[in-house]
Amino acid sequence: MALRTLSRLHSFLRRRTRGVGVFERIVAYAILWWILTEGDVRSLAFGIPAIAAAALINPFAPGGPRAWRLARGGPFFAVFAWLSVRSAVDVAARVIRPARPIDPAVVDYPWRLQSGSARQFMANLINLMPGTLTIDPGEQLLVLHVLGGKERALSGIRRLEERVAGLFGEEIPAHE
Amino acid sequence: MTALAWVGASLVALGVPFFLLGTLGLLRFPDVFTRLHALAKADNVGLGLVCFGLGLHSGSLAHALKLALIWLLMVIASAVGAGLVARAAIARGVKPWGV
Repeated sequence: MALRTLSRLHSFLRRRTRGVGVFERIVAYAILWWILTEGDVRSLAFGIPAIAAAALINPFAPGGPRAWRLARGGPFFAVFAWLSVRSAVDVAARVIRPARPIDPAVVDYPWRLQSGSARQFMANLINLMPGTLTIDPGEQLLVLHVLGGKERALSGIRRLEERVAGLFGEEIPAHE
Repeated sequence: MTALAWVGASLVALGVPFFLLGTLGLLRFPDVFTRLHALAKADNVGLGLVCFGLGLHSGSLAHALKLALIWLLMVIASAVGAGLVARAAIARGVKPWGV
């Protein structure tokens, strides 16, 4: 009985410890603990067991964000920050102008990304990008709500999809 | 105040209007979808500037990273939340305004 429980625990841990190596995870969770406790050394009595437990029982299932090409993360973040600012300024300008210039449209966008995690990432990212909102991330079509300037928003989405593909290391067909 | 603290305070002051305009959008825009646009996009940048500014102002790396973490979690929650509200609205048959 105890042996069976033990072997179950073993296979559970083996499944969970795949993906990014245990060493990288220990480093990542240690940094996170350091941030949360603001470097308080006394907290390590709780911190060391917590870091070890989190690193062993990997809460990030294989195929999640670990699939990112880390080297592309930096440039991607720069683009994200710039587009976020443009997006917020755009929406603020529409709010503040007396005429309230909005011209909403609902658009079907055929996915070029294949993997589920890349699609999920993009569907959520779209909500922060200039003038676009995901209504339904379907199997074939991504249904979008556009606040105004449909063509411009769509060409932005095409470029964004290419960047997300690069981040996840996916090859996608060129736009025709 | 040090130069860093001044830069931080200016970034906080720059971030606050985005919250104000996002909320104004909530009042002025005509339907749930357009309101989601205003909230998600303005709050992302508003909180980003406030957190970045407070991080610089504090002059402590651990503080700054903690604020960055708060911003990151809030942005994820706001992007996912906006998508869920939009999806639920469409599923309940809400017609987008002006389409």
